[in-house]
Amino acid sequence: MDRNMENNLAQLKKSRRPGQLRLLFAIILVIVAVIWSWAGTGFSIPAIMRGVPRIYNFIIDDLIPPRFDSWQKFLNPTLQTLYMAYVGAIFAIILSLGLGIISANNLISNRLIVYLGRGISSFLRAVPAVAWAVILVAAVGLGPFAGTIAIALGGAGMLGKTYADSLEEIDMGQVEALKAVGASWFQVLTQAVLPQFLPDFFTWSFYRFDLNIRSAAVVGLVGAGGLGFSLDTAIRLFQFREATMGILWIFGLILIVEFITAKSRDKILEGL
Amino acid sequence: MKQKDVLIKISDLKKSFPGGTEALKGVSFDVYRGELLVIVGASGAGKSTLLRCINGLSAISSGSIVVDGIEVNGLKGKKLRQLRTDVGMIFQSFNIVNRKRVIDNALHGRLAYYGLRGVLGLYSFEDKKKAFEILARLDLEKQVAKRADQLSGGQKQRVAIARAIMQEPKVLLADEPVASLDPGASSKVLGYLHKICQEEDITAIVSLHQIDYARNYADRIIGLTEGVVTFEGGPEDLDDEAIQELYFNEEEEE
Repeated sequence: MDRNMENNLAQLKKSRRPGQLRLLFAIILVIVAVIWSWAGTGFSIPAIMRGVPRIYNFIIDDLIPPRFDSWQKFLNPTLQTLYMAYVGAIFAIILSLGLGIISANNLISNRLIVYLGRGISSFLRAVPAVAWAVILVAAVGLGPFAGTIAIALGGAGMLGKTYADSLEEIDMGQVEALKAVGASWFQVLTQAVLPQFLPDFFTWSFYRFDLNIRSAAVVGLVGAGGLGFSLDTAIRLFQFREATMGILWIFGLILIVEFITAKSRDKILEGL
Repeated sequence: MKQKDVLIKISDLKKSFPGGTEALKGVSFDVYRGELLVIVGASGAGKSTLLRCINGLSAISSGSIVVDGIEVNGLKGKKLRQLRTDVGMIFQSFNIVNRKRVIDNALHGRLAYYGLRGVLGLYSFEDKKKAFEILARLDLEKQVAKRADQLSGGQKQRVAIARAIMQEPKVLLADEPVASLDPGASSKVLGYLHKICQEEDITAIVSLHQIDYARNYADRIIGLTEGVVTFEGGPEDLDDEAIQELYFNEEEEE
């Protein structure tokens, strides 16, 4: 009996070893990566120490106080940023619904289509919105149109993947039951898949809209309209206090939008 | 029994899964119109697989299944959907759409008769009336407007029965319909199932692992052991010896 137990313990020990080895390997890998990137970025703590007073001086001398009297200058760009984020989100959602569905391996039996969908999402995701904006500003000119498309494409990359992942998590029993009554693919989609997918759909779509506000502010820096564009203009003209006013606008806009989206998301999810 | 009119003919049905497991090893039997056939057997004997082959949810490896004159093997697309309108199915885990109302779930049984209107969930007045009527017969009239996830397990399974009956099927497949229910709800659900199949003259194939339920409701019983039919007869023939053989003889092999 005891010898049996000894055997069992030995077996337990043996079963754990590969896990421990892997953990050790992972820790070494992380340490190497940290050292490598430290060297690669020229990260130095003395430089931070030296920089702190300079940052402090810049903030005190150049940025503060904001030029509150310039607030009107940012009113239109703020609205423009909001429109870009909103229209960009709508386009991204429409594009991603298609992408998400064809990328979900439980809804599409053709592997090739699934890989294609996943591939398109990955590609769109791999290119940051700012990079899309640079390309699109060159293609369609300065302004919010380029920014909106950039935001839509960047957003579609993320939503395409999150939609697909959510769709793959649904209870397939309900789907199978509707297949068993003889329902068509589209009927199964709207009657069994959609009801299960809607909560995730709204959560992710609203989250994307929140992110879009930030993106919309940033793509402006490369000329694609909105607050970022005004901010960039102010900085180029050394109007730093005006720029601070612009940053306050961005800050306020993000807070307000997040508050509103959180409220409306909760209301919608309650009603589902 | 009524006249012995064959509705489903299963001949030498074999089904293997990609991993190489042979779930059904040449199953043959007939199902007569109007009867309630119970399939008994231990877990893993192939009961579910057998039922899923009959409406084409699982493709068979070889053999033949003929449902009311139509060969199921090889059916695809529209023809397969057409067959499925004639074959209702009830699942162990109910599989009703939890986030929809009870009435919507019942109306799902009519989807195959609608095209785009079904996609949008728009049903005719007659079908809605029919759904109310069937739900009332299953004592669910107070639940029609409730969301399905607010129901108890037994009520959910009755909604699933309503959905299947809405199809006006010729045959109803019930795959362990009461395995996730407590004894009280189980006999209630089986009672409703039995009654409504008789009233609508629907042939039923019910897989069960509880022998006493099988004896209570079956017109005929088929026993499966490891993918082979090892018993066929009336409820009175399923004696202790037969049960012993169905459920306990695998241990001798090991």
